Amino acid sequence: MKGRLKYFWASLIVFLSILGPGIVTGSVDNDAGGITTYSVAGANYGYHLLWTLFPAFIVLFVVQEMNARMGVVTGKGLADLIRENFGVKITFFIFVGLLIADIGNTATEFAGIAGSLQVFGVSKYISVPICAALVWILVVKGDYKTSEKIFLVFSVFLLSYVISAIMAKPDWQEIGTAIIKPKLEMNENYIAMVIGIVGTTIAPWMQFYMQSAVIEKGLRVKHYKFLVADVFIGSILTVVVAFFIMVACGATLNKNGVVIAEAKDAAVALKPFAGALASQVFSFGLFIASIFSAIILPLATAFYVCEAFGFEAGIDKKLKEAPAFYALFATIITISAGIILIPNAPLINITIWSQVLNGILLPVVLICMMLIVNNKEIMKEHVNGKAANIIGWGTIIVLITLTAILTLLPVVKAII
Amino acid sequence: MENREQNYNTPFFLSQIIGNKVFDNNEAVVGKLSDIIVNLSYTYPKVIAIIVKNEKQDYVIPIFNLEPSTIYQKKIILKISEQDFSKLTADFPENTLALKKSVLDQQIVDLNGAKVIRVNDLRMLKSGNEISVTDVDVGYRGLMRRLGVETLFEKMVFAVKPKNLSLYSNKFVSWEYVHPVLSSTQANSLKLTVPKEQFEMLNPADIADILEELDYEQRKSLINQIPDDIAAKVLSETDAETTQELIETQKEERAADILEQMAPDKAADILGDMREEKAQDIINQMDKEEADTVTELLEYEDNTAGGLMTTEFLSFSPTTIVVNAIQDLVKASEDQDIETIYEAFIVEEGKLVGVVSLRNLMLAHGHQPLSEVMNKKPVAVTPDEKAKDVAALFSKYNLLTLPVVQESGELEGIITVDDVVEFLMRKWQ
Repeated sequence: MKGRLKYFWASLIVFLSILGPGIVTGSVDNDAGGITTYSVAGANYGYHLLWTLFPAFIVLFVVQEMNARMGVVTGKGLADLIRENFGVKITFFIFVGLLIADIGNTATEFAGIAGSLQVFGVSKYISVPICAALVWILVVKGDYKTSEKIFLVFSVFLLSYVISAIMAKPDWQEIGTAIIKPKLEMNENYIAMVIGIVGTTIAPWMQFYMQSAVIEKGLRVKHYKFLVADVFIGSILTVVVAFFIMVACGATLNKNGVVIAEAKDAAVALKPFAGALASQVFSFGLFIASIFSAIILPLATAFYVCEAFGFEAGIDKKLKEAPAFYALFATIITISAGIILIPNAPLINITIWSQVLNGILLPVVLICMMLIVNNKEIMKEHVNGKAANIIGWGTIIVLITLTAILTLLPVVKAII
Repeated sequence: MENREQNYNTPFFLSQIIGNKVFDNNEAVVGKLSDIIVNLSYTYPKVIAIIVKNEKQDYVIPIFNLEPSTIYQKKIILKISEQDFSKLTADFPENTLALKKSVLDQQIVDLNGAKVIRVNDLRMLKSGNEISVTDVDVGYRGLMRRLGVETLFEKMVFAVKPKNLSLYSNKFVSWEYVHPVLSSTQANSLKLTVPKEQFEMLNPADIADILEELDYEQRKSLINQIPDDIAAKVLSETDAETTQELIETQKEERAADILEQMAPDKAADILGDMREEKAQDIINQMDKEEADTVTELLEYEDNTAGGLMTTEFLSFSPTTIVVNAIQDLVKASEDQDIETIYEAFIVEEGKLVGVVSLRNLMLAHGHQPLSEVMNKKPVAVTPDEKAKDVAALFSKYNLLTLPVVQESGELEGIITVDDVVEFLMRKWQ
């Protein structure tokens, strides 16, 4: 563990895993894209899509439990395991895809930063370059003590959505009824929204992040029980935040028939119905979530890609010694922040296409995971049991079907 | 000239031959080359067999059944026919390994560069009738070859950055310096021997870094191959979690052997982190003297002077003369059984009466008794002093060592500056 960057990375993950890998993954999961999806769902369908958070929770929990188990048993990252068991070609396909998708996702995060700060009257031409520079400095300077404090504050502030929701004065009885007796619809928009919610809670890069976090924390089989609890809490937190976002938007925007396309719109639209403060709290949460993910996502991506292909990843401090790592990180930040600065950038298309790419990658990653987690040579006695396999494959089949529809829908629409 | 090269020293890559079609002596396809088995007893492992796979099964075919010059050709030709396969017996020496399964794409240790590397490809050499592995390819070019775009890559780099040779030249590490680390299950069926000198060449702290970078299975297997005395040094450098894990996976006898060779304070720290019964099992296997010392040290709380101290130090009586003290110091340095030679402690009836530094000794006359040379009022602490305050004393008085004494003045042990630095690092992190 020489070198500043690797040290920073290790320290960052060690710190984050004090909260628990599952909890952190869950927090990063509610990024700008997630908040957008939940806001739109709340605005368009009120409380009638709250039920989707149950299947989303199950999927999240089942998949991350497998990552946790693979991590504690092997001590290898998911990138390592895929490379070692499926060779260079599949690994290359996954990581090139992941790289592109993550550039798109990071662009969404910067859009979240730009949008949320616009609510406070800051122009995106000021906020985006400054935040991109901050992200770069935080990683390159690697003062982990400072970032430690920043991240701690970040995670706590995500709870601001609970406040926004309460300020929107929702009708709790109505919410209860909507959960128990959801109004199911059978039209294209409704189905797309359901898929969107489940899909946004589980992105391919999270599997890699989760497993690495488990390893960096030095967790072993003996810690497994705690880890499962941590994954459970993390998954709960993810859906709880999602729940309150949907409630906040459902209680105000849906009741008044306001239609939105972005998370920022939700923040703006909240103002007349729940007050300026609620709107600001909502924007603040969006800003925190976006910058949190804008740091973790590029860093994680650069790290896995280097790991899988055996490039030096911050093992040595100097730029010359880890060129691939620095180049990747800089490229992701620059492109994704740059896209947002282009006037009239086709942001919606970027979001859709990175979602499509995620949709294609997810089944590949999940199938690799299922094969590894069932390989006795790797997992020994910790291979999936019968029940875990039924749930696991079941989840994957459902997920593949859903993502296939989600992936094809916008493509078909774009063509027509 | 070209022809000669083909017949004699022809280098080629593993990735280029895996999957090629294999024909029998009647020119009939019998399957595809799926793996290569080598004997690791040589500096450059020799190919002893190939594995041919078809729809029905895998055949292990000893290398002498092959037309040697066809190994790197698109058509690999056997000297026997498919009907003869049933007569083949696979009887190998112990030290064998399948290259694709166990080496390609895996992490192995580069002992020369003291780091863990990932195998992108393997360079092999056909020399006369012998085929062996010569280098591990760890470069970008090897990756591109695996993806089947080596030439395209070369052209692209040449077009964009013609002067950047490092991008498209091959990056090899000679097999001489690498060490495959297999999972412990594989390693059990395989006796990998690494010459002791190869580990001695490396700084124990670097081996510790390598261990931490390997996965859990590989760590176990590597530590099993490291001689006890080096393992003791290495495990003094690994982080607490890794050290504990690796000691716990050893048989009690070996764990005891390794801990005996460590500084007693370090050994006590490691044992203190373990489950009590497990620690006791290991202590029971240790030599009585070391076991007693460690047990005594285990009594002290972490983060106190007692927890930081070691009981291995050099002590003299006040009447000892300087020449004799220096002789003892030289002897102790040779034996390496004390942690520091920079300071020695003057004890009368078990009680600390002074400290003498190496510098004092060198400046003194040979016949002077130590009582005339020593510092009669050394700084000292009691075992229950907080580690934080101990660190403050080291900083204030610029100490290298600090004696730990009981209220009664009896010398219990000493704290060396490296223990303090380690404590501070742990705290700071």
